[in-house]
Amino acid sequence: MGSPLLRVEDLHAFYTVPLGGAGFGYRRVWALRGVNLDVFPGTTLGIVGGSGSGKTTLIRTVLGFLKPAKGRILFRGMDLSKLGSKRRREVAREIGYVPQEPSQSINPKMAVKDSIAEPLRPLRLSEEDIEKRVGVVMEMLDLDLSIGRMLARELSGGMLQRVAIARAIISKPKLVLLDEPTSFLDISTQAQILNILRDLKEELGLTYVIVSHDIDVVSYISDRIAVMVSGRVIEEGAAEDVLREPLHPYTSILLNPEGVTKEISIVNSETDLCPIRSWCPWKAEKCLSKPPPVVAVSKERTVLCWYFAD
Amino acid sequence: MVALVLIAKSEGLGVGYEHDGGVAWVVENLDLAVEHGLVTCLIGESGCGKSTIGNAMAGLLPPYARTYGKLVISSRTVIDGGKIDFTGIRGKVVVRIAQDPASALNPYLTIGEQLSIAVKTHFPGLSEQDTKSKVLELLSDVMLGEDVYERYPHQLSGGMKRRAAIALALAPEPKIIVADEPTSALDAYLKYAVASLLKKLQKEWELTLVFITHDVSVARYVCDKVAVVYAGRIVEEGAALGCLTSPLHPYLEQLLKALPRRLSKDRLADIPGMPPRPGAYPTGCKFHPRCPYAFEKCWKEEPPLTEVGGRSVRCWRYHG
Repeated sequence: MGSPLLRVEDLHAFYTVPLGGAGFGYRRVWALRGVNLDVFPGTTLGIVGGSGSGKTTLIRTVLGFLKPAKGRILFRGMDLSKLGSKRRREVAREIGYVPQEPSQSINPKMAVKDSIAEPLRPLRLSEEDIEKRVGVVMEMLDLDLSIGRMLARELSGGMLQRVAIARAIISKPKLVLLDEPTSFLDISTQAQILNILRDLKEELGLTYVIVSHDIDVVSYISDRIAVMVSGRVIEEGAAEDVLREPLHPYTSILLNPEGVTKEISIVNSETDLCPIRSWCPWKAEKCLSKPPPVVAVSKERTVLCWYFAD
Repeated sequence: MVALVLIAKSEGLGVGYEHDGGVAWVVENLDLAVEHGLVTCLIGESGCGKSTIGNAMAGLLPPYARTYGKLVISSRTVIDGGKIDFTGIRGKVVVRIAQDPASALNPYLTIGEQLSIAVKTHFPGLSEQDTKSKVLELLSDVMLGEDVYERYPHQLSGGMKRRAAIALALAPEPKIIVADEPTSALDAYLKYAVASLLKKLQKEWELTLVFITHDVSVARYVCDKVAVVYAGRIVEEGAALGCLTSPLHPYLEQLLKALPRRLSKDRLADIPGMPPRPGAYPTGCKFHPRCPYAFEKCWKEEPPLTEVGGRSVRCWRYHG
């Protein structure tokens, strides 16, 4: 497989939030607690998990919006936090980003054409070149050129999402990070966007990291799947293996949510103990006292659970 | 099987909103029959008018709404032409659970206080003691602990807030509950937990549940009957299992093919274009611009609902 395009090593990140209640001051909420992931060129890694599991934080940290508290992010072997600001900006162009809600991330008063061209501005290309590239990208995304003059707020959700994808790929990135690209869309528009994403990947040889709470959406375009709970990856493996034979009890629930009979909750506590220890069917004494280890079940499959440790 | 009694029935119902001096008709010529004691699902994409149908049934249309046709709920004609009269029905016989639970709960009152107000409003004779025990009963019905009584909405998680909103809806002991996207924006397992709670309550309380959703898998899980809404009209209606496994109408067929299926990398169906906006519906069959089977008649004339194998479907392909 060669070397990974993106490698995340023992990544920790936290947010500072007010104490709340009658107390003054702030506390740390750990959103990532030791995430390890490899993304190989030309593949798609799907990250699934419930709300608050740290999926979006992981993407934000890779993009540099959030500083890691610990751990490293390696892009093409370069440690992103060690790069100088000029080099970091250059590398940033190689990483495309499609944010969660396009209507919140695209300037509603800007012409669509200008929105798409925005990432090219720092490159100091000629107007002609920019125009040409915008045209090519819009065609790739089935966007009619007449839309270019419209304002972003005049577009529907599906159209806006296409504009967001166009913005992400116009700087010819190697890696595209997609944060819930279809969660705000209807089924028919979701299918359109998923098909476009798959076609673009083939055409441009892109590498994707796609985050979603919908495991079926992820499974449609992913080669590998990582399941996150409470800031950690609890299971990672080839998409087909994970879908066919989930190992971690939480993954089984994600795959078969209608089978849940008892109340389940995810403990986002400040300890590194297993987040599902309160309701896990395999709960043992160890689970309540020691953090679970990462177990390599096979060469390309890991799970974070005491059950597989022995 | 429960005897099939219609609790709500619409005949040629139209609902529109005043817009730019005219009326944009969102729902047109709707004939919907809701059977008592069943879960009827309205499935459709955003902008198709399913929430408008829900609001019309719950008597929650805004003042600028215009209507025609007829809507009968629990043997009372509530919409008759342009006249709307929900007195004694709204909030008593029919209640709606809103999409966003935060909008239904008062952030300044504890859950117990809010439920007590609802109970006292509908049962004015109850003593303090009885009110409290009734509130606690409601909380246990929606599987919330007694401790929730003292808590404020912001102290509850998303799933718990939905449960609290459901308890609030149950307080007047209604006959019909209109649940508008009760499972949207929830995690997968919470979605099914809320859906199965609603189904459980529907059985125990012998309620009629109108479940509005765009999520086909949840619909498959909770519904007895399905009505597929497209451009403000029903395009297919029938038993949930039949409709969602062997669809008749091209729209439903394409919609089901557009859903990603686990372990299948087959290309998803691309329904071209977008659902039409209210006020700008196409001529003839409203789905014809996006339909792979459309022929001449489809853009000239709108097909009526026809009976095919115990189901109703609005498509010219099933005529002769």
